[in-house]
Amino acid sequence: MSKRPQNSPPPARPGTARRGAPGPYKRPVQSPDAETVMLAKYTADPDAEPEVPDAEQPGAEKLRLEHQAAELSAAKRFSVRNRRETDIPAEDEFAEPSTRVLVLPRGKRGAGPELFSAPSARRTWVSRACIGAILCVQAVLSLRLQNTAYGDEALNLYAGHLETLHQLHGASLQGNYATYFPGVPVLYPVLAAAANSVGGLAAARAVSLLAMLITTALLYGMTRLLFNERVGLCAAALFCVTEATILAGHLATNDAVSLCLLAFASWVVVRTGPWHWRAYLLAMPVACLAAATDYWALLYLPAVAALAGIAGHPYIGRPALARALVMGGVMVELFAVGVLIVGRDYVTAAVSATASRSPGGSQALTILTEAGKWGGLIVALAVLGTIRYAAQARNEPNERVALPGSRHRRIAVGVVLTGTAVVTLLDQLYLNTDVSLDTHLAFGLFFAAPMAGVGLARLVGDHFRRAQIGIVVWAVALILGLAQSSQLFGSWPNSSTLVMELSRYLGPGDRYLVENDNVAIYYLMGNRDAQPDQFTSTYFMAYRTSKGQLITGTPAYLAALQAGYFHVVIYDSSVTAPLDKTLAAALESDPRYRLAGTVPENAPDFRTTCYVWIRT
Amino acid sequence: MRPASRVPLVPVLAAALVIIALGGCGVVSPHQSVGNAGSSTHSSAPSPTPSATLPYNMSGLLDPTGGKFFGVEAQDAPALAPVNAFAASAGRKPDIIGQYVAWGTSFDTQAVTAAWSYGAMYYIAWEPYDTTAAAIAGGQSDRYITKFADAVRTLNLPVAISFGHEMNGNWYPWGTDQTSASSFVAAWRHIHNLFIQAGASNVIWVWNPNIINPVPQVQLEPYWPGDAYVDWVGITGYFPTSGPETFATLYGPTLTEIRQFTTKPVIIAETSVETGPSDIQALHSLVVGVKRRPGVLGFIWFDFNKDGVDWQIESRPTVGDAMAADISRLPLINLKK
Repeated sequence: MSKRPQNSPPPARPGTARRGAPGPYKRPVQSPDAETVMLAKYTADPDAEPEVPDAEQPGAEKLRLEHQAAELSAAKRFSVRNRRETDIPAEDEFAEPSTRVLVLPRGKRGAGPELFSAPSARRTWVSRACIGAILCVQAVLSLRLQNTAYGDEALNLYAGHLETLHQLHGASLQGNYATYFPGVPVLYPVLAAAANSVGGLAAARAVSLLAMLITTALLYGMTRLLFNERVGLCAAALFCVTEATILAGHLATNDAVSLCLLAFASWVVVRTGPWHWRAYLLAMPVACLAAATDYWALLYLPAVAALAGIAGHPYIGRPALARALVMGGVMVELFAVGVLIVGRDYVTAAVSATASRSPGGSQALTILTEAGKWGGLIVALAVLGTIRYAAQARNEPNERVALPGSRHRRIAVGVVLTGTAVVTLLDQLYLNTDVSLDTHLAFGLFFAAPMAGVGLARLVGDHFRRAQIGIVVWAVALILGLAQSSQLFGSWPNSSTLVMELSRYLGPGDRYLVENDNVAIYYLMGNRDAQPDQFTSTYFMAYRTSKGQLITGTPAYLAALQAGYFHVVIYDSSVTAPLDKTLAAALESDPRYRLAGTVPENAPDFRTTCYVWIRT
Repeated sequence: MRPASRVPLVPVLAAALVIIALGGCGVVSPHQSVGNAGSSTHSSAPSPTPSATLPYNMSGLLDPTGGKFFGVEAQDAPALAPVNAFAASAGRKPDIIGQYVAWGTSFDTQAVTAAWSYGAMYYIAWEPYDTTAAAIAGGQSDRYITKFADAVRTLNLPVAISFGHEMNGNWYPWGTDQTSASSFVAAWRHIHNLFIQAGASNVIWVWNPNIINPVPQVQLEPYWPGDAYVDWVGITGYFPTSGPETFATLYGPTLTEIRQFTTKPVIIAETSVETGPSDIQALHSLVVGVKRRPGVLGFIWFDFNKDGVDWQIESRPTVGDAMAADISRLPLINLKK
């Protein structure tokens, strides 16, 4: 008994015989009356993948025979209408027995065919069940994380409350948020504060979780449109277990909502890729909103624009590439108009968030190591997927895939998607800091995930030949995501005890020097004796002496202590250790201050003690 | 054709994956013990963690206004039997239980806990035998001090510590004959800072000179570590058969000198009345003197029979009865509040 080599293609089925070196698909032909599309054979591009008739499509052969006459007339009409745009196969080619015909749902009026590969109902529902399960896993992974509010979360939430009061009642703000917030302060902070008003921190975090779940769903949808359901599920399965996804889904910061909007914009440009009308422009306001929500998303707008070009290319040819230029141009104009309207403060903040180098920040090796730990697996799979996809559009000969286009186009898809992941790393290296790298990675990994899905699908092989490898790879990704997200979500100490300790010593008009004042302000919101302007952090202080001299930095803190300016001083010798040491020495010898208590701060990465001094 | 061996691998690996994932969810996350404030924040304040313990709030003890302290340093303390005997004679349970602790002795957690359960704060008269103030200031005892401080912080109950009591006398090794004022101050500050660094904020620091009457030539101020390092001023002074018989004459000169460099509250840290013709009057003067002076927190009775002199009240019923009568009119502090 002879065995077929594992790597050889399966035997051709009757009626779907492979023909020698068929050309790539160039243009779907829509039959206006029968709602079918003829996929013409074309042999001009030697790099192209052979188009294999879709064996999984039920009734395709029957429909092909039934609509043969209609196809011919439709092809004629189409070729006349579009001859100048692309190469149209000759009429006799359509009549060849091997001509491929697929039944496709009719797109919106005038929008061309919806999809190249319309899946079966069974395939659709199985895929939907799988993505539902993936989203459930993602939700569980995020919700299992437990800790009190992170400093950035606290800042967003209480600033959102202040912004809301400012917008509604003209209440004063605590500083000019526009100059240093990483996003427009009236967007995410206000949304999060509204959620916080309804259900506290849990509700604010639920907004992020919802955003990240939508992001994963959109990733699946986008990948399904670019490749197929299997790759989409692989991409979503990998993306949902990365630490960046898990973390962003349980942090009340602007990353998740911004990424969700960016994902929606990406999905729109891919979804509208086959459409002839300029529906892809709908993505632009969404993309701009994503960038306004979190300036970090600005870095990925070129990728969205490029995606608009390469997504439409197989369907409408080279004119699709103009979409990228149009999108880029219009987005620049939109931002220019936005800047003119809202002022330069936002530009300052955006430049600070995306292009201002941090002096004395993290070392490049640290950033590279962290990025490798947190996103290396997906990027490695994405590189593998890029290479394999460039070499071969299909995982198995009869695999249903979206129009892959020429090899150049496939390379472009891989380079744009995988390369975008590197943007995160490059900018963090340029910024010279690893601050927020853990959540910023989610942006890059969102784009790399489709190619990682291709890579994982190729590892699994045709007909799930090496399913165990895929399971092991995903298990590794899952374990890494579990451990890393747990570690990162526990990297700040639980603030419950400290806040309760501080609350003992609040007084009307008293002033508090607190190392991380945002958390204290947030948790003491509503307390009359704990208004934001009563707090000072150990990060920055400007103090005017009794002689009217304005001083900053350590001298400002020492002068304030000497004048008895603060009623409570709290430090933990962690982030601002040099200043804290100076404060400790000053407090130890100051008879007006007494150590009221110490609160141990225990996190997996460090153990320290928070010192609470009160003015007696 | 699919190899037969591949078929069972998939479910086996899938099962292993599920086990790993479930295990990871529970095991890998180290934060379940950290608290659950993040998930239950409908209110603004974070939820306390089950293990979270606030530092003992000392603000009510540093300068209490609601009542006076009535303490005892009893023979064989910290055992509670002599304390109970004293309380039976005095008619009131003491709210300070003092003990003399030699340098190098570990912090007696059980004694502090027992005293607190009894309703009293533990008072340590820390005696630096077998070392010198200079050695302490030079860091030679840092390990011992830090360990002691850690134990104090961990216990998280209020404790009063008096280091090197009666430093202005010449009858102890840390007294004026063998220790300079600057060395004493340096040692005091060093110990205090080590306690601060250890986070032991639940200590009341008692600077405790002897009354100046027997050593008028010794100035107190050079021995003063500074307001930042002291919470209470303790004064040691006994009513002997021959000598001052009133609160004012016994403690007045010392209080006057102390008030020249600090306003910290004062406690009579070691006192008693020697048996004699005016012992009842002296006792009455002590209690009334404490009661009338807002800056005086209370007194600690030296209930010992030492060197042939019986300072106890249990063995002197008349003194005991007088004590009970006077104490009943003295408003006492309620530590549990």
